[in-house]
Amino acid sequence: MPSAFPEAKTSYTSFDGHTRLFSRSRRPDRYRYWDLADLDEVTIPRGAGLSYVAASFSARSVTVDHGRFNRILAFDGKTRQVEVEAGISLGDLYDFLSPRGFYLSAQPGHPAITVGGCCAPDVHGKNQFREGTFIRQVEGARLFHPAHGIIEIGPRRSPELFRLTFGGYGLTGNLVSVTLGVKEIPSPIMSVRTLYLDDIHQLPAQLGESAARSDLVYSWHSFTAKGRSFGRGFIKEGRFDVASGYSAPSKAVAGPATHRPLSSESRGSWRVPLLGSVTIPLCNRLYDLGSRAARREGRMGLYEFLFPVHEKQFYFKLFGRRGFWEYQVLIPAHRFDEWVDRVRVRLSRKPIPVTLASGKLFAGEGELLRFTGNGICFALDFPRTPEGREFAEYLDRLSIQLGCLPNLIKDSRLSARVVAETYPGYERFRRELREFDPRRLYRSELSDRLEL
Amino acid sequence: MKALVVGASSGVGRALAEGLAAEGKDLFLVASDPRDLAALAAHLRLKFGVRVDTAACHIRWDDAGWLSALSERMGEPEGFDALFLPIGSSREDDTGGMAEGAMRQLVEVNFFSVASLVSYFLPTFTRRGTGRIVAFGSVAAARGRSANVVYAASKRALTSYFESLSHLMAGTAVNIQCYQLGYVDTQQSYGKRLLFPKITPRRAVEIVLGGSRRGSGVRYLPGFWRPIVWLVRSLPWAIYKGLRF
Repeated sequence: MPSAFPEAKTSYTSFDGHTRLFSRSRRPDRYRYWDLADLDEVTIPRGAGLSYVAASFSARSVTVDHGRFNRILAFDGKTRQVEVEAGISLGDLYDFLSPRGFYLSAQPGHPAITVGGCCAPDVHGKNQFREGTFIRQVEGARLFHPAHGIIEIGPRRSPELFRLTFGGYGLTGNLVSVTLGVKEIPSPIMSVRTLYLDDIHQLPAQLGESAARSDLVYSWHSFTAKGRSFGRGFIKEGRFDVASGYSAPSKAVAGPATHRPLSSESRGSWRVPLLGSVTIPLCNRLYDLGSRAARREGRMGLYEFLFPVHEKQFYFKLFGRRGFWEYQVLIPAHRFDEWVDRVRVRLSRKPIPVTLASGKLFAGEGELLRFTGNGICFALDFPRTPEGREFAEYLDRLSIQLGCLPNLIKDSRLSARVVAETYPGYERFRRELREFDPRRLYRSELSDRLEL
Repeated sequence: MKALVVGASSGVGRALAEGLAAEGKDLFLVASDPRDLAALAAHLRLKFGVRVDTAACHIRWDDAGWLSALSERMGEPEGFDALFLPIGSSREDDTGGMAEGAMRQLVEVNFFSVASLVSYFLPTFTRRGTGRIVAFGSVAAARGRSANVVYAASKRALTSYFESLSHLMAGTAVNIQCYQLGYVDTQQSYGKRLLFPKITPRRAVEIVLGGSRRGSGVRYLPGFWRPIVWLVRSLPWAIYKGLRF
């Protein structure tokens, strides 16, 4: 590679704090970079670097930072399509779309995440039951691979490669541009309603009812409460308040003047964790009481609705440098009671301070390594301790026994064996990836660990 | 009236294009790769609603036709009121003894191309009595050293040229500025361990665009480089010759 695109030796950390290593990196800023690609070089693309796992680096790959490829290439309000370079952040895209009356309906909760970072793991939001995962709004893309050049892919153009790429964890190449279908903003205001849930076993039924009348639904539960209180919490329903009307441009949809930065390094900047076995149950208790004391109905702006993590990112800092585990799993609704009961028993025998237990309703068909399907998507956060690791390994066994799907992009210690046993499309993904790229030129710590 | 930005596809040039477009300025962008220009122009048109024209241009010492080809695309100089010329080229092997062609190419890009463009526009700006011309030198040219030999020489020529222009246009409303860039977070500095902090291209452009009402002259960007350059220039030869940087 010529000196026009020099390399750096960069220290990378996964967002959960688990994987730290040095990697070679480049940050190209001109299209000429794709002309000069090396057929013998192993690389991996990188967006904002906010994946919980090491999906954008490894010790033997050159990380290609897409941060300078962050432009809007085309927009058509009539066909409701926007074409962007993959390095654009969701916040910058929101700033462009919202004054024109449009938004991306399926996206994760922080504005610093890039479009490419959404495509690679095919992410979801809090409205997956209605909007599906990110791939559903993708109209097409241009994918670069050194052996194939730039390839046009989409739902109708090279559909197999399209489905391998969106949810392919960056292993099929670099996304040069992505064309997205956008939706009209029905209202700049969301009506939000809180329903208290004393028995977590009611969650699947209650989520279903809430989803039928809402645009977003999620739940929060205390997994540090004891006895019959275990799992008590609440469901939040959000609905576009269409009655409030909307005419673009509207100040009500405007986000902050600058999007708050977030990085894996800043997340782990506090050396000492403030969340531990004493503080977490107390925080959960206070959060539960505070939520019950608060008004049951309220309103929030569209920005806050789409990017809830933006104002709460200090939560991740509380885990300190050592970080945290997140176990996000898709549980078939009919196995949910058993899953909850077995987790409750495990936690009563070997307590783990679970900081977050949160559920969402999922709908759709799973394929390859895409994290989607029908059921309850449930996430647990807990400190990254040896005991936490044992708990996560217990959850692995539970996933295998109950037919659950753990989310690969959330868990830095997930093994190839567990993924092979839980994802029916694991072998097919490996086979199709090798058919497209026999030399396996795109690799990350994630792909090496999962033997992809 | 529009602004010309040459070297617009990356680094300070791209940040200038974005900063000017954010101020509502119509633009004519020049860079070597039409793909980069197309992407940037589309972005600026969509995001800021400004008019953006582009021309891909390879500045070559052995092809004197680049300026006439470019001027054909740009049209008459009357349509412009500002020139931003953040162009530059350096080479790892610029340590003395470079081949003639490579040497001439460095001087062409770093000095003659800027001077040629200024000569094309200056009569119009002078007649009109207003305008702004901004070029970008480098702190690497503070004092000759064993690296960037021809690069530093060509950037010093540029600085001298802009001092002359400033003198020439003193007393008029034609604003002539030459910013001596310190470390900017671009490809040139990527991955390098540097003695002093880098600034982002965006921050550099905020300073440049914010300095439009300041008078003509040579400035350091960021300003803390002025005493550093002074110190480097003041070092006795007996000490300086032993330094390796």
